[in-house]
Amino acid sequence: MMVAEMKIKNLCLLITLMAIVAAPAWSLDVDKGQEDVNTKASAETEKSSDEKKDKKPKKEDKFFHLTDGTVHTVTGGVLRDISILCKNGKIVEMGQGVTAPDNAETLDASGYHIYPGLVSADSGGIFGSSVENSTNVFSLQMTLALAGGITTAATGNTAAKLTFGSTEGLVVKRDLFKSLRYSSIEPNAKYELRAKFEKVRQYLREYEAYQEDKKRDDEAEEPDKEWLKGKYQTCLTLIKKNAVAKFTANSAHELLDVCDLVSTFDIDAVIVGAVEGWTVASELARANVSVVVTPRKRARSDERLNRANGSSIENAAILHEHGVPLAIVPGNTSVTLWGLAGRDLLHLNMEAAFAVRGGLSEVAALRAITIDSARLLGVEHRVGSIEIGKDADFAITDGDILHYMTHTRWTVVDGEVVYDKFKDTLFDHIRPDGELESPPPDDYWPRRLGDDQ
Amino acid sequence: MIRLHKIKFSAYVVTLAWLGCGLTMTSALAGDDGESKFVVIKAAHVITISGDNHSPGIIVIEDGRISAVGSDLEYPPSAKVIHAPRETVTPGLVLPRSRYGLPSYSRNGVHGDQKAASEIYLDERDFEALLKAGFTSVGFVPDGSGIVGLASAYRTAGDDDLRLLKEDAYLYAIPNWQAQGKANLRGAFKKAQEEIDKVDKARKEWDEKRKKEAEEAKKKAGEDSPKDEPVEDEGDEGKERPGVSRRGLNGEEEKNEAKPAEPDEGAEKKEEAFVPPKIDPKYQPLVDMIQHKEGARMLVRLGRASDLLHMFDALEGFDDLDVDVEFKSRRATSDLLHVIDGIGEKEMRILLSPVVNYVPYTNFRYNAVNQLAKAGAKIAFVPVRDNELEFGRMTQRMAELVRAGLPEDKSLRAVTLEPAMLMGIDKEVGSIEKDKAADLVFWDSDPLDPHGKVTRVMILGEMVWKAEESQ
Repeated sequence: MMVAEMKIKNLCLLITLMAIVAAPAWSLDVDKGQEDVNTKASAETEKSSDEKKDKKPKKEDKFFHLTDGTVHTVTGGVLRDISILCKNGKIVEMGQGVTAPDNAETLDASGYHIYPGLVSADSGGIFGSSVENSTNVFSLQMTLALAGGITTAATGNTAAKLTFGSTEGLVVKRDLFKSLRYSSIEPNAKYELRAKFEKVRQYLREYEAYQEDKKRDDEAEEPDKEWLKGKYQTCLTLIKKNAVAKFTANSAHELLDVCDLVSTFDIDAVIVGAVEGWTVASELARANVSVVVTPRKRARSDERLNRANGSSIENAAILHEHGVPLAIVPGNTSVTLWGLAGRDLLHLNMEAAFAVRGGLSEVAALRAITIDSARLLGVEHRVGSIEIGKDADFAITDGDILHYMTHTRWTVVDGEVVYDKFKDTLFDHIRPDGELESPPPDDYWPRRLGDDQ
Repeated sequence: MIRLHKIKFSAYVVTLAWLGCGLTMTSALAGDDGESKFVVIKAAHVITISGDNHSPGIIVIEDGRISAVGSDLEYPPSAKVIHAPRETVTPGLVLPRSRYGLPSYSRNGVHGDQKAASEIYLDERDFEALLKAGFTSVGFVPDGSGIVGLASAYRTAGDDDLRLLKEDAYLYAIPNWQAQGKANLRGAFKKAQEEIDKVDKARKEWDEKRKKEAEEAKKKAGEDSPKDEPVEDEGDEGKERPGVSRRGLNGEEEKNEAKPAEPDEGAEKKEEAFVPPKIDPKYQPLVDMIQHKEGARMLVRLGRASDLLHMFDALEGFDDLDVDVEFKSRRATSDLLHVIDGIGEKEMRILLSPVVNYVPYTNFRYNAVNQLAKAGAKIAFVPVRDNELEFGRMTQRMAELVRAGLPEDKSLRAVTLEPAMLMGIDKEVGSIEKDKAADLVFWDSDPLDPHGKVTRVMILGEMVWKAEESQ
């Protein structure tokens, strides 16, 4: 680019020389490789005057270079000794022998595994009630979740990033789902919802007919749409596939009811729970729904029923086998330190590992907490795998992420190291490699009392 | 304030005319013979805060104001000498944010038109607890949440007429960061900007109208050249008037804004026709801040480190606002450490309690205040709680911080000059300097000595409080 510009410049140099000399100071940008100020100035003079006025001092590009790790791309297999170059929070280059500019922040990941940051399809307590307005970006919960390798999580109806220490770029996507109740426990609500869908569908048919009529008859009457508000509006957006419905259903008949509704009105849907999903997996697959499962969720089987029921360790594996898109979440989607340790959001990877115990392939288990989870939330274009153009979110671990001894060594969000095991006080002391006596890093913060006197 | 200036004036122009006036106020301060009343303090140590310390130290006070400070000074023989051979004298302590003794109430929204002064009835207040701890100035704030109103600074003793230091010391904001605080803060400043734009628009329209009229007049008048020039001048003046939008394309326009409202007054004299639309008084202090009016400043209360970032977000686009922050410091759960370097880099002023902190959820102690000071932040202290016990513990806690590494001078500055600057009363109090008010505290040893106590308190050259033992 620059060479070409220089050539063009040489041609029109004589003409524009005066303009170059008169070029004001705003052309003195500090961009990388912009030594020839005159070249830039001449290029600028060719631009329209409006652009000049709008010109603001550009932020310097920020590079992050992750070197020599074992990269689990999720969507493109496992690559060994690969370097990843990120620019302004996005992955721009990866491969062997990738060179980074001098000002890049480099992290040597040799001997470590690089995974895309994990995506949790649900969470609680990490973000504030209003994600961008009241999130505590220095909270212990956020640090703990990052220590669990999570970089993106759904909270309420919003998908958000765990941008520790920064309020920028918190929100990834709003209005994820339209939550609906369709359960045999509430027969009235169930009946009403179906009736609403029916009415909206009828309206759409009438509207189509009206549009046909209008071509022939100018005085055709538009169907009444005064009532098309609130819940009806929700139904309309769902039938038009402008939104995704979210149901909670666990038992086989509940799941089948939802499948029936979903396939009758052809809507996109996500089912949370699906404990007995393994008994109706083919129906779920045919209805084209995605499910959010918790492999360690237990439900006692009722032996009086003359069908397979209750929870199964194979649930995730069977659903996956039938082609049902899966996301895995732990039993408690907050960061909790009470009750049964290891069944909260700190152990998202362990939950996926438990599905592997039930027969799910490791690849599918990893997908269920990364790309498939991201797809379920509709944010797969930004997170969930290591691909060029995607966000630079990584969980860098000291082993296989589905192994119980594995700890996250660093977590990176938008090209920034937001969690460093050795610098945080949480898991610093746990060093299976036995290097417990190693001194704290030079830039250890906080500087403890007495360190600085 | 006005009266104080009068006193100052009288110090220079000592005439018998003053006697003739017979003002009760002056007779209280100046001698009955109409001459300046001199008071001289001879102390073991004088800690000036702003300059060198003197041991032994002499402070010469003329009509309630400090006229000289040093180790060896001459003073008129008529001066009343206060001997304090074992005492240390420091400037009176300044408590910048308090609701001591005031009833609590809840109120939400933006209340830039409310002043704490409206809640203070000096005759019914007892400031003994503050005097005992060495505080000579106190800033009261309104209660509630949101932008609660203007803080008012008072002296803790003295003649009632001279007690009020500043009615609009600073605008105090307590956003509810856990809920809509950020959005509300942003909304308040946007509204203030709208108010400015409203005035600008009206002014522009008026200018254009006037120009047209002038042109028409010109046409009608034909060759009346001498009349033209002043008309054009007026038009130009209208254009570069302050209060033009803060988003100037170049710096020049902003410089114009920084000027006080003189041209406005001038314009009003010349051109009676333009009446600017009224600015909502609730937003007036915010408007003043955006326009960089002298003394327009805000103190924002933060609960957590994260709130600082949210505050920056909320105030984005409004450059160079004079904003200080208050951090609600808790011993064990303050996550201030995350933003210490950021506050230091910006050289912000931070108001917090003098406590040594723990890293949250650990037993690692760290001296947040010292780290802030090292990073370059300006520190002002406020007692941990608004009660007598904590007022008295203030210096003790400061001593603890000093033991943990905080330089002594910074510690004392944080309870005198810095809070005075925060309230914009640093020209009057906060250090022992020439022309400042003689609001002084006498200590029986070093102020940071854990056993040190206040022995006497002087306000405007008058002894207003004495410890029982020393009487």
